[in-house]
Amino acid sequence: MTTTLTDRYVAALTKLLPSRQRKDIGSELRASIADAVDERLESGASIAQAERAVLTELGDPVLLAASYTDRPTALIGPRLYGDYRRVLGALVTAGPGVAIMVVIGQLLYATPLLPAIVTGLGIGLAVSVAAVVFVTAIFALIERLPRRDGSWKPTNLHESDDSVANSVAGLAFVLAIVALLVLSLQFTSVTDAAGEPVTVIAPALWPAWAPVIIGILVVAVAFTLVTSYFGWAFPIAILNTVVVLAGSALFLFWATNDLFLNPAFFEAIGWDPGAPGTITVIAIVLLLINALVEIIGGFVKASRRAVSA
Amino acid sequence: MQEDDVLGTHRQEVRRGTVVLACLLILVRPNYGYALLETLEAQGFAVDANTLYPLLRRLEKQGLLTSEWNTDESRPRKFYTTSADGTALAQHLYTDWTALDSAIRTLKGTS
Repeated sequence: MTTTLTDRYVAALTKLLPSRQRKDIGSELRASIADAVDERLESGASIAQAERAVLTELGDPVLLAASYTDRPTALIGPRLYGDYRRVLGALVTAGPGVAIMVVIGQLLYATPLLPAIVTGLGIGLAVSVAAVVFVTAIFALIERLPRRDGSWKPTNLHESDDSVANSVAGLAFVLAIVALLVLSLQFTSVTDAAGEPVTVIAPALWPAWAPVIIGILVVAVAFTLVTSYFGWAFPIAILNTVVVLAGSALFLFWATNDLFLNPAFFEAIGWDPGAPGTITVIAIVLLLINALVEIIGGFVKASRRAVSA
Repeated sequence: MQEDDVLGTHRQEVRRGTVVLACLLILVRPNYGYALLETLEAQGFAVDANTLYPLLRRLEKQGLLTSEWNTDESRPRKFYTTSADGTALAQHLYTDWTALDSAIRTLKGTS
């Protein structure tokens, strides 16, 4: 038995509905379509013409299903679009910035100019694309979470650290850096004395620690969603503290167990053997300062919300 | 033609606000989807099928309509009726409507 156009239409529509509504809406729609077709048959159309005309008038079943279920028909709706645009605007410097850093890095260990630029552009493009993809995906997810009053207020103009835009920008930046670090493990033009490629990050870190790193990313994404949903309150600030401390502790663990920089890399490019140690110490200091800023900042934001609530 | 588009969109906006009131008034007597569509069209409220059918569901969900499947005829149909809440709401909307009507007339200068 071949399915009619109507069968296919109703099937396409009902599969997008919650299961408990399928039968009811499906039956009602079939009756309505049949009624409309009958009407057209009376004015002399053929069954095929009538059916096609009626279904064309009903339009795209995806849109009609969304209308029935009050679901969004846009990836990112008007409510979040402003924040979304601002975040993308803030990140527009990330790709070129990374590209420039990579080119400089390449030139520093004597790669010829053109390949250096090509590598820089390649990685810069990858970072830009990753940033756009992550930001879009996160906003699309937030769009589909239950609503929370985060509407734009004039105070948002100055309290720029208080908005969805900043949370997502910060998160996207972290994700992009991690993506870059992982990429750096795949693409390296430095080889050691034996001709083996050497990566700047300790090879023991990836893929052995991959589950942990991915776990951290998942927690970071989840946390961003939590803060954009709940806003900053004291429990959130405490959660933020825990997350930051856990992340810092993990990094300290790596740094002190030779799981950060790869000494063989620095040997291969002819830097002082003490260089990785120095860089690691600088990185730890920066990390601790950042952790402190994040933790204190979290409580400041929470108290600001409490005052203005 | 561009002029038609502009007129069309603004007309749609005016009508969009009145379809709900029209439905609530018509459905004081029970009726089903397609017949309602025809009645609305006959009364001058040209509304698309893909707007009306989800709208009826929404109004039912808001408690303004009640529905019942009628299996008397060979083709089972879902009949909608305006509920008590729906009638009350319609009364509010009608009051608003008459107020708007006299306001517009005053503005136009032909009251």
